[in-house]
Amino acid sequence: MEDLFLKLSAILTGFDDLDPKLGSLYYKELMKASGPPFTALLQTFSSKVLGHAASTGHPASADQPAPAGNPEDLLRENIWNVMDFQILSQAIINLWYTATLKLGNVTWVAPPEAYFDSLLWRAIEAHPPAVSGGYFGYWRYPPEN
Amino acid sequence: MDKNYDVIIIGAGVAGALIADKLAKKWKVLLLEAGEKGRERVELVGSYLTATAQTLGSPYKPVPAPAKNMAPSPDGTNDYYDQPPGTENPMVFKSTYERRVGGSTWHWLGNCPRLLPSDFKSNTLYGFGKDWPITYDDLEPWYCQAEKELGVAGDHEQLNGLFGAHRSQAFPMNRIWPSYSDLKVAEALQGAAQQWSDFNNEPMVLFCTPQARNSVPYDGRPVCTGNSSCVPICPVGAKYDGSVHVNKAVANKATLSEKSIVTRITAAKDGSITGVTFIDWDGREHSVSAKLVVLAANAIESPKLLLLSGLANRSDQVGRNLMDHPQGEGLCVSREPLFPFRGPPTTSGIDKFRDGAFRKDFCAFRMSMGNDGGGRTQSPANVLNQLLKTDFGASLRTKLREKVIRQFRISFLAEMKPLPSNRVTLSSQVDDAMIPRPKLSFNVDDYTMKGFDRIADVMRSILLALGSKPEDLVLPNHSTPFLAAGHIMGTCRMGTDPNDSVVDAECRSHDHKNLFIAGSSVFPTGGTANPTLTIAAISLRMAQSIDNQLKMSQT
Repeated sequence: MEDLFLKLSAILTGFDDLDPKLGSLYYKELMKASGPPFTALLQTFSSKVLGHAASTGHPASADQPAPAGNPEDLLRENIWNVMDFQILSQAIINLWYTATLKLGNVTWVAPPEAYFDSLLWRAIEAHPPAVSGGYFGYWRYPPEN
Repeated sequence: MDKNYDVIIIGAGVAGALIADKLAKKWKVLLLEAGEKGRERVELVGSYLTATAQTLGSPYKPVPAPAKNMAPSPDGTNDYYDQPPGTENPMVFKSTYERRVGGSTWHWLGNCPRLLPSDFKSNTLYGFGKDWPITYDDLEPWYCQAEKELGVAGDHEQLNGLFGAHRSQAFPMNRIWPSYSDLKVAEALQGAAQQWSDFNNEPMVLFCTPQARNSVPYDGRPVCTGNSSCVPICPVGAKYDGSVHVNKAVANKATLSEKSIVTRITAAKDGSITGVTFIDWDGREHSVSAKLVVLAANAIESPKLLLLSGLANRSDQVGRNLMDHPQGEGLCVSREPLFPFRGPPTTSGIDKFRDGAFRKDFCAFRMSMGNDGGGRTQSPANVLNQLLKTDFGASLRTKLREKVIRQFRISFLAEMKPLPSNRVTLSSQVDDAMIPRPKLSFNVDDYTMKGFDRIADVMRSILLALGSKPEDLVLPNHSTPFLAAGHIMGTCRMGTDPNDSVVDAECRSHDHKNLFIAGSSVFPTGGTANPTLTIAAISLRMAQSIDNQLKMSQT
């Protein structure tokens, strides 16, 4: 299931090199905060987006061909456009981007090492505040990409 | 702890720490601080990173939280201050401070402009406020020394002679490099800057802001590596804070007593100050005596303590003329990427609006250029939340990048008039230590409000020069409440006349010759300079006066 979560997260966030350790941490926290809906989301992702057999969880075969279309479109149709799944997906994206889970009444802040990897700052080619890793004056130049 | 000292200093912020450091070399000094010394810097940074709300105070809350918050610091407008809405309070006072060893410099930006010569005589020149009893020339050597003590990096050539402000010495360090964004803004202004007759038709030029952050290793502290979190904490100590001089004072054998909340300054029948009474965080009371007392809390806690003690208020000026620098931001989305959130939050500013004949009509102001995208109001997290309503995946990532790397902030910091009705008094409500909370009354005068229109004109022209679409402009206006600068000033003003000022030109109480008041509470007017460098300069000057007075009393 954690594997599925990483694959789902990659499509939701637009980053395909997510840290599996963080994935594991976030998976556990989401199970705690919203277990059954989160499990349902992952199952839907597995069957409707990846085309895994619902009964076995195995990849598509000749009997059960993978769904047509690219994963982003399939995710939009089967998850993003379903209200409950969308809210949960937004919380997952926010968690990867800001290292904070906000879901219903739950607010959970990940430990500092997660903050270092929060995607918000990578997305804008900056660094999380308080952790530049740079040298004096680097700000005079544009980022190197 | 000993009971008798030469000097007791109340408050271990930048003013108290500098004075303690200088005096401890010759005198027996006790430095009292209501707040705690607290945890190591690295732990404070950890608290900031993991705070659910990354407020100014978020790194500094005591851990574990004590049952009673004996020395509360305001971290909002109503969690500590008593400022009920109503006619007494047309506006909310929003600036806060940290009661801890090192004080609010822990979360300052480090900007260190000097006041201008005209700022010391605004009444004579422009007919508002009150002239200082000292001039720029009196303070100039002390500004030089303050720049050395704090470690200010700046561009001497650029700033020498600014509106007549000569500089007798260069900065101890070369300037902090301007950001990529600064260079792009300067480029845009060269071609497109609008010129105004009331600002002498001169073009707008970006100057490097002098800052108390290291551009080379200095005073045993490392160079700034652009962590972009100066507010609320520098993770490496490249930015100066008051703890630097607290540590020096302690090395010079000053006694530091944290968690010591002064409840009363005590005086003999003849008016001479005898010492102070304080309580510790366990509520035990202590009394200590001294030849001389320096009150160096801040412009809210200092008048509060004088009012509690019933001292130094023959003029009825204690607590009056509370000032801040009303501050606001203009935002836009630039045509070209500026790559914010890299390096210090600001590195350049525009100084040309700080003086001129226009000050007869409306307030002076200083502009500062942001390196922090949408500033305080449109953070990257806010942009993310907006986009998340419709987007996910690669599209979300691209749109987020395209917007945030082009976001630009320009801020103004304006002068406000000192008004006697802007006031700190004692509330009927008490804090956990059973000490009355500060009650605040605050308003901003029409003179300053009038300036907001001109500020918006200037901002619009700069932001449009960056190629922003008009619909992406956000400009300050009369209905937008301005933000707080954290520059708490006034409330114990200095002057020559004991009937309308609290302290004399040496910052000695008119009423009690062995009571001195340090910090920005003594400022008669605010000018357009962030106050810390002036606080430091006045403190160093005062330390010499105190040293002389103590020597005289020995003979």
